[in-house]
Amino acid sequence: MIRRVTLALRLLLGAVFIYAAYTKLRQSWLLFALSIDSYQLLPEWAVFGLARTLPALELALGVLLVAGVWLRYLSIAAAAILALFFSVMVVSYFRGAGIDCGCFGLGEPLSAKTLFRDGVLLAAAVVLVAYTRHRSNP
Amino acid sequence: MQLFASALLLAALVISAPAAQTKSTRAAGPVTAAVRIDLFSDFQCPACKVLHEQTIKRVKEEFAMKGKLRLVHHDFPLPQHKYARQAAILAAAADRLGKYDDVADALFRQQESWSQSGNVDAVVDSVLTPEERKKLREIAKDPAILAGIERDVQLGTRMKVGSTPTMIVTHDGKPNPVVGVVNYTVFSKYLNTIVGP
Repeated sequence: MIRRVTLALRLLLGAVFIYAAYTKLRQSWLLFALSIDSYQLLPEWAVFGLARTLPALELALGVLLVAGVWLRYLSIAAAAILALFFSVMVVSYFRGAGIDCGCFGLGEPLSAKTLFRDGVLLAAAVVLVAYTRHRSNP
Repeated sequence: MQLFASALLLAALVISAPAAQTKSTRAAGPVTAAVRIDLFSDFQCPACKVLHEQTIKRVKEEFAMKGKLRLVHHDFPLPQHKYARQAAILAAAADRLGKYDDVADALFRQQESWSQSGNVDAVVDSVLTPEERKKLREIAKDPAILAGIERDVQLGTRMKVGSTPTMIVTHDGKPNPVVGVVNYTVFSKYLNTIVGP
């Protein structure tokens, strides 16, 4: 049972990270920089740095999750990244910033729906962390 | 199919653009420019004020006025902003007097005060001569002014504008929505990659 849930969760999260990376890499990195900048939380140098590196990081994380290697550490990394995204989105949403989510390319406004979706993904990542720890410490 | 939809959208944008013969300053830059920015904005929205003052004015000066792109302002007064429609009507009327920029700047600069008091007229009047004020009142009654704003709102709705400010940057026939406030440095870096030399 645990093995099946772990497999399903890592495939789900891996696919989501790969798709998120694909939607960003197929367009100019500067368009993603604009999405990050609209959150109005980071200085310009950090906006540019994040826009250049995050899609590659998401791709690597997605591929490794699907491959199922270093699962104990990668599940923690996935949960940490999703927790960061979720916190930033919650803060921006309640600040009333009418902005793009920037999650899967352009054109998706930050909304209750996007918060719910990221919340579900975060919950999935937390469960994956718990299950991989369980498997590592029988 | 997607290309056809983009072409239709582009045609709608061109048709809805402020008429060239009215020396409108709501639109700047050559109609034939390869890059077009359609800005959907609300005079009562605080984020629109920030975008206007920090980014749009410079984009207009550095890109549109230099012929590198076409920038078109569309009104998108949100229902929750009580005085936004009135402000949009007065700004559109001011455009016919060639005073759009002055009125838009004043409306954004004093947004906080008229958003609370509702005294939009006083702000508009502060940048007009007595004669211009009289003319503006007459022009504002023209049903075409309100119809133009309604057209902008319909266009925005068709383009899935969900909040303000939203810029639709169209390049190579592909519209890219940029939602919210973006800094000039970041935005100009992107624009420089698409406007060409």
